[in-house]
Amino acid sequence: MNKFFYPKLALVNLKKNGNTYIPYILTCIGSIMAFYTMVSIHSNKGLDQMPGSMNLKTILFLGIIVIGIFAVIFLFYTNSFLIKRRKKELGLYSILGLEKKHIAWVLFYETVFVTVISLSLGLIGGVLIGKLLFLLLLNMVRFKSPLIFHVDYWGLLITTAVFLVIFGLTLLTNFLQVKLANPIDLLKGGQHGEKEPKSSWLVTLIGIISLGTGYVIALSVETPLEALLLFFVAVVFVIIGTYALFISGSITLLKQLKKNKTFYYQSRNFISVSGMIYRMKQNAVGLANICILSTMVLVTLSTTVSLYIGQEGMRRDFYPLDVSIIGAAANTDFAEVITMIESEKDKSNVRSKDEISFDLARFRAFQEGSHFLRDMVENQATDALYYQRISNITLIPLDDYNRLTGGNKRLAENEMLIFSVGDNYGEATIVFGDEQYLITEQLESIPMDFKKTQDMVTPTT
Amino acid sequence: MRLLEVKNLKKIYTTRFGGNQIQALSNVSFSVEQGEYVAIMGESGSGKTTLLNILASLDKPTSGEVYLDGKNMVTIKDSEISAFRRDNLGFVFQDFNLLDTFSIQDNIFLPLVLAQKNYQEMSSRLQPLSERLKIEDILKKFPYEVSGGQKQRAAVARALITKPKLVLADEPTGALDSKAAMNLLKIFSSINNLGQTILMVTHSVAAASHANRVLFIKDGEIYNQIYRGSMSNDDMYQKISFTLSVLASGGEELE
Ligand SMILES: Nc1ncnc2c1ncn2[C@@H]1O[C@H](COP(=O)(O)OP(=O)(O)O)[C@@H](O)[C@H]1O
Ligand SMILES: [Mg+2]
Repeated sequence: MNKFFYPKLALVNLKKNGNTYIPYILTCIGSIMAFYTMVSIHSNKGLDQMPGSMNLKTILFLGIIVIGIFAVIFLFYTNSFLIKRRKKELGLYSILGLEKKHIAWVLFYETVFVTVISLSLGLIGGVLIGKLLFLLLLNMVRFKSPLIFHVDYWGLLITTAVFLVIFGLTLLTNFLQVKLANPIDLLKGGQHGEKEPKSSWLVTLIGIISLGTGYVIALSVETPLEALLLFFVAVVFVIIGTYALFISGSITLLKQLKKNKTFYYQSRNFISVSGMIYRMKQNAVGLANICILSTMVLVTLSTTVSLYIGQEGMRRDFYPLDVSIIGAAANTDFAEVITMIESEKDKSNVRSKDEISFDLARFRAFQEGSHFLRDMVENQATDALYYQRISNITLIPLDDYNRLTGGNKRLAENEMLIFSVGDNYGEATIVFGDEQYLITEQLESIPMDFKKTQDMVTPTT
Repeated sequence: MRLLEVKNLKKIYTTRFGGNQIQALSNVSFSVEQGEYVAIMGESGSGKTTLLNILASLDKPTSGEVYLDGKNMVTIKDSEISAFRRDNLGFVFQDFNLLDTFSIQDNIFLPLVLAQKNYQEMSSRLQPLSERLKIEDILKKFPYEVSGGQKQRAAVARALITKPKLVLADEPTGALDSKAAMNLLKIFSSINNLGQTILMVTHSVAAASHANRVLFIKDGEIYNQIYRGSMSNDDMYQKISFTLSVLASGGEELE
């Protein structure tokens, strides 16, 4: 017995079925590349040294899990599709003299080849693409950090392990197919003998509930960063719900339609409904895949695009003026500063416009209702909630405000005008430490062009 | 010499749910001599395919025995059954069952490849076969490039290339037009004349009239059989038609 017989036969099979196996292998390579890229970015040491990297790492980690789940479903689906198409071939092998054991060997070697090809190309591609994406990521987030890209052996190992398990499981399902089927069924398997698909109300119900839950969670989470894990749970619910609804919900619906005799026995509905039942059975998973993929692409695109575009806005908000010079009141001679500025402007031939000057006091505070506390700020945690509640307060004297606006607002002792960036400051009073101020007016705008700069600009007496 | 012996074959299909039982064969016994050409006829659903699948060791009978060349096929171990099939039986199917991904030649070689024969032997066996079956010109083509008749001749070549003791054919002319069907029947007759034993299930009176002997199966039992003796094909045709019409009308008054 030639020991190379089964590997050779496996190779021939792959070649002969190239038009279906090449796309499959490409799918595998793509999944492996995506997975490896995520893992390697996630485990990059340089990331730890960046501000806010915790959030990025959590997102990446959840991304890895989602890609993993998706790879499993997608590869299983593609594999079962392929093996179904090859039932006739396997049945013929069996009738013409291969035992099930031998067919299993052939399938084993086929999987080995597919695995080796996909893993090696996928990992090489992953390393290359990883490098590219990494540069892109650096460019996009504009992190200046000691980031060095390296081949991530840990990532290679994890990716290999995960995909070995996935390929192993697909092989097992193929074995099962061959073991359970008898050759006649295999021969017929490809073409006819299709049973009417079963549907289950339970699965449909689960689908509706998990899809609903998923969207409710996703919509009720205000900022995704605030509750990344919750968002992730929502994503998983949506995935489960989509699959369940496509696989079972569609069939349940069609069968319901079929039961409605007056509807079903109309020439228009008769053919489409009965045809759809069978076609949905074959294509439910594929359609669900497409839906989930497009949802993911949409979510990813909209998140990244809005993050990226928001970045420019944030920069403008933080630095509304091209040049601003701030000095500490105690030891700055402002007249001298102004002469210096004028002489520098002359020297370098620069003109300025929209110059404004005013006194200000600036500090950060931790908001709790109408109370703004200084103490909590000292506590340096990196959690997103914390940043949410920090306000930057800028205090401006009423005189400067009136001078710049040309108005003549008046304030009594312990009164303030307030301008709030973003949402209106809803409270009637504001408390710093143990000093309480009455708010006399919510300003719509202020001349300092802070617009959304800091959370609060408060002209005071 | 007696090649095939079938004794008290019974097959009951049990559907998976509800335990509905369908008796496909109730009690079938017959035998086939070496070099015979036997046709099995019967209405649709009478159990012909079931019988053939059991003879092909693709399915197990509920009870009864099948001896091929003195060996009981029913008791062969699962691990040996494929090799047994490969070494003793050749198959011709109604819908050809050629693999579209292989050329005609590779399709014919398939059983020998699976038996791990060397290429020299394969091609030396193919040479005379392809001549006799008139498929030399299409060996390099793929199944989707040739006609139904050519496909079926290729399938016959695949069945014969292993030099089987018995060729089993299930409705081999079922998917062919009448001209291609006639052509195939002539080929069957000629290979039978060279000593090949053939067992063919068929619907077609024309196909059955080529055989040496016709078995009629009804409600899972052998109902009647016609020996050719010295009859011509036309006489056979007449007699088969008559038997079938009696069979269809209830068939009580036949001996
Ligand atoms: N796999 C099966 N499961 C259940 N019943 C079957 C199966 N195969 C055939 N039958 C039943 O057995 C009877 C004989 O079928 P078959 O042998 O295919 O008849 P024929 O080939 O003569 O048309 C039919 O009633 C058929 O419905
Ligand atoms: Mg049949």
